[in-house]
This record gives sequence, C-alpha cells and structure tokens, in this order.
Amino acid sequence: MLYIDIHSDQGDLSLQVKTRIPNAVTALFGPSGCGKTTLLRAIAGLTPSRGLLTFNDEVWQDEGVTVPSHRRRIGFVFQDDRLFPHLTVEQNLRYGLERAQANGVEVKLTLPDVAEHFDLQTLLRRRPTTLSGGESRRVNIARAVLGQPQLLLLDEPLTGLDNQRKAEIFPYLAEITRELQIPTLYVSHINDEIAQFCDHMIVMQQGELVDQGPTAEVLPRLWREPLEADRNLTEAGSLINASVARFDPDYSMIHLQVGKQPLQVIGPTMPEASQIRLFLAAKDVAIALRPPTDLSIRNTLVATIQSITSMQDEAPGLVAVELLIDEPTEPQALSAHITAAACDALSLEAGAQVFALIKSARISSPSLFES
Amino acid sequence: MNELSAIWLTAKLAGITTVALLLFATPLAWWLAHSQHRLKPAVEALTALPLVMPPTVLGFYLLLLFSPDNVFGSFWVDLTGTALSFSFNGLVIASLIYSLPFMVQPLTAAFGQIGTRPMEAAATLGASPWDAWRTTVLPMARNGYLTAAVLTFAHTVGEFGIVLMVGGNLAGETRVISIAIYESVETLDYAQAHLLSAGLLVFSFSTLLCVYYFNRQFALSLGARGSS
Repeated sequence: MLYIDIHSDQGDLSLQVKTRIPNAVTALFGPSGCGKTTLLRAIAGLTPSRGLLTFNDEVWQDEGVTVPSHRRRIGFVFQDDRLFPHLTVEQNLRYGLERAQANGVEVKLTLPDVAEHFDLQTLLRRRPTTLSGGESRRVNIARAVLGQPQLLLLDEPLTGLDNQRKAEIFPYLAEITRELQIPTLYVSHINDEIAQFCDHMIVMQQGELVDQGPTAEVLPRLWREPLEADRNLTEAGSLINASVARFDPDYSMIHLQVGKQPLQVIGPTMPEASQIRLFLAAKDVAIALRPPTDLSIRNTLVATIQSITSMQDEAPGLVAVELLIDEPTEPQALSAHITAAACDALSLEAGAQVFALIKSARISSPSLFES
Repeated sequence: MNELSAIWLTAKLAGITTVALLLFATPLAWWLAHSQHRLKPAVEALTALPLVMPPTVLGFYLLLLFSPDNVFGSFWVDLTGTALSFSFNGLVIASLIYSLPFMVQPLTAAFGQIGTRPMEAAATLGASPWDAWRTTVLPMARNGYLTAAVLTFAHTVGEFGIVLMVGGNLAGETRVISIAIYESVETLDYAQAHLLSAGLLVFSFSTLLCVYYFNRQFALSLGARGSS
C-alpha cells in the first residue's frame, strides 16, 4: 500500500494529495495539467515535495528523510522516450536488471521472458534511434519491468501504440502486475484501457484528488458528472461484466455471456470461462421495441428502462436512457444516448422492456481480471 | 636540441593542463549547465574572462600573485621551496586559468544538451547519481569531451603572451614553442622560425580536422535511422 500525504509547488500547479493507494492497478485520471505527472514524479522522488510518503513498510519521505529515487525500487515509464541512445536495445534492457541483481534483488522477470512477451527478440542488437515509435515504447516499458520494480509508475505508456500492439502488451502487463503483485499507477485518458486494466481509480483536478475508489464505481460517477475542466475527456458508457463462452477464430469473434444473454465482440483469442470487463460507449447503444431482424448489428440485450433524462446542457437533442439488463441474478446497468426525437417517436418511458442494440463492441485486449 | 626541448616542454604543459582541467572543469560545467543559483551568471562571467582579456593583463596579475612578497607566492615557497614566477609550475597554473573557458564551455554546452532526463531514467532503474552520470551522461558527452580536450590542448600549445609574462624564456623550464619562435625571429634565425611555425600550423590544423571528423562520426552513430 502506498500512503501519500504530500504537497509540492511547481510554478502554476500546486499539488496537494492525501490518499492511500492499495496494492493493485490504479488508474490516474484527470485533465491535462492537473498534476498527474507531477504526482508520479513526486512518488518516484524525481520532483521534490514535502510531507509523508510511505510504501508498504518503507518510509520514502518524511520530515528530514528522503530516500533517493534509485533506492525506491520503482519502475517508471515516462511519457517521452527515455532510452539511452548510446546503448543497444539489449544494453538498455539490462540496465535496470543488472543493478537490481547487484543489489541482491531476486530476479522474477528474466530478459528472455520479457523480450519474448514484448516481441523484442529481433530488436535486441539495434540502436534506440533506429526504432519506430511503437517499438521504442515497448522497449521503454520492458526496461522498466526488468528493473524488478516493487511499484510501477506508468505515465501514459501506451500512447502512440496501435490497438493491435496494445492488445499484445496489455495482457502481459496485466499478468505481471497481477501475478507478481506489483502495484501499478497508470496515467490514462482512455476509458477502454482503464475499464480493462485498472481495478482502482483516482481522479485528479487542479492538483487535488477529487474522487477515488473501485473503477466500477468511479468511472460511472464520472460519466454522470464529468470533470468541469474537460467534459470531453470522459466518454459516457457502461462497464459490463461478461464471461467468455468460446472464441471463433474464423471471424475473430469472441462469444460472451452477459448473464444468460449472448454477446459477440471482435477481439483476440482468450481462454474460455475467463471473466472480462467490457466498456460499451453510450453512443454505441441503440434501442428497439422489437427484436430486430435483417440488421448488421448482431447484438441485442433485453433490458428495462430505468430512467430517461434530457442532456440539454452538454448535448442538445440527445437523451440519456439508463437501462437495466434483464438478468435475475446479476442485473447490470447500461447507458444509451439516443436522440430526443427517436425517444419520443418510440414513446419510450421508464419501466418499458426494450431491446438494446450494441452497435459496435470491440475488445482491444483480453483483460485477465476477475470482475 | 633546443627545439626538441621546447616541443617536449610545450607538450608536457599542454598535457598536464588538459588532464587537470578535465577533472576540474567537469563538475564546474555540470553545475553551470544545471544550476539555477543566483551566483551562476557571476561564475559564468568569471569563467569566460580569459577569452576577452589581453593575456598581458592576466599575466601581470598572476606575476603579482606568484611573487614571494605575496601571501599565495610565499605560501607556495614555504610549501615547495621554489618560487612560482618564471617556473614550469607557474606556467601550469597560468595555463589552467587561461585555458579554462576552452574546457568549460564545450562541456557546459554538451551537458546542457543532454539535460537531466537520462539521469532521471537511470535513477528509476536503480542507478546511484554517480553510477547514472558515469554510464549515461559521460558516454553521451563524448563529443563535448573530445572538443573540449582538443581545444584546451591546442590553445595551451598556442599561448604566448601569458607565458612570456609569468614564465619568461628559460630553456627547459619555461621556453615553450611559441617563445622559441619569438626568440628565433628576434635573432633573425628565420629558418628555425619557419620550422617551428610550420610544425605548429600543421599540428593545429590536423588536430582540428580530427575533432570535426570524429564529431561527425559520433553524431552519425547516435542519430542514424534505418539500418543498424
């Protein structure tokens, strides 16, 4: 557990954070300039701050005590590329690994293993300046992981990677943080990433913490009440728990079960019966009164309307329809944004049973989380 | 034999000056590149002073400082038993001051360009500050070090005014090449003056050529894209 009670003045930004962060994967969310990077840097000891900072039993910072960065055993993936240009990829990867070994740290993540998972075997002898943006992101992450960190600080680590690469790196990051129980702080703007990768979530605004808790609670709260600083930051949607029934390699389709109802999404192969958390954007959910036929949309979930609210302020002409998927054991909330005109034309009202059409659903990564 | 002794003395002076300045100027240049201290402009100005001052002014004050009548000069005599003025040791101290900007400025520029980002990354990978500096900044500043060392060496070889002021013209002790050329011309021995002057010219050009060539190679090796 990371205990933070620090403040730091950096020009325009005054960072003031007091919180406890559990040993889990925690998303750090907020508009740009709100102090996410400063907080990560303060935790790493790279930006000076005052106050108390403890990690598990270790005091990293207190009055008169400051443990230097290199003794904190952290892994830091910076927003910008920080590979050492005078070393090869392999030498870069060994940099943290060798220092961990020299300090008697037990090596749980070996170079061949990590290189394989990040698909770096063919790059080992290259110079960083010859790598593409995506390749260099992967080496940056792999190098941080190989330092055998006890805390991972990731500052938008997947920026610049395409969905295919994200899909390859995500599960591995999830796996190592899970299996080796490396608590991770993860700066991200992407709902999808947060929903699938992070159990816990912190929301920051203007240097202060404004919300915190399990992702499944905080993310929907954000959708209902977006941050003032940036309403566009949070795309409204729903988090749906589902289990994998089977994978259809011919169509790259994953057949899911949401309760007893089927749901098919495009995505990479993943083991049967694994539990996943799916993000469905509210704008991608449509509503029909009858089960539709002859439609390219394959997914329909039977649901009941809970409420209909006008979105006059943020999106004139749209209404937000809150649904509950009809499942006796585990009813799940689902949001749909449709036009007010359609809502009136269909005479939708609370209590009506409808068919929710999921226009597009794509799983960018097989999240390995028990939901 | 006279010329050989002058050449050897010059090389020894330039070599000692370069090595001593490499050690002394590195922390100074690092501080200048990264410090926000309010005294930094003053230190910068002081470091650059030898660039703009006539060597005679510097030589004059050094001569006064070295004089056994002075605190520093007499302290040196007490310490070593010999005076600094008109001695090789005096020349070394004068060269250290006179060539300081030629070492400090390329290093400051190199450190400034590298910045603190590699050091930060190294620290998060478990490297202590010295370890991080040695394994990231030092190799990345290779270019700056080469330029600084060669410029310092060549500049020390070429100095004249200050040597004349604090060293005079003692064979085997303070009679460096530039002084030997001056003396040859004074005594109308143009053949010898030609020999030494041409030698110095060729030496200076070839060292500078080497620096620019290697700088280019190094920049290519760090900046190249495409094949490895």
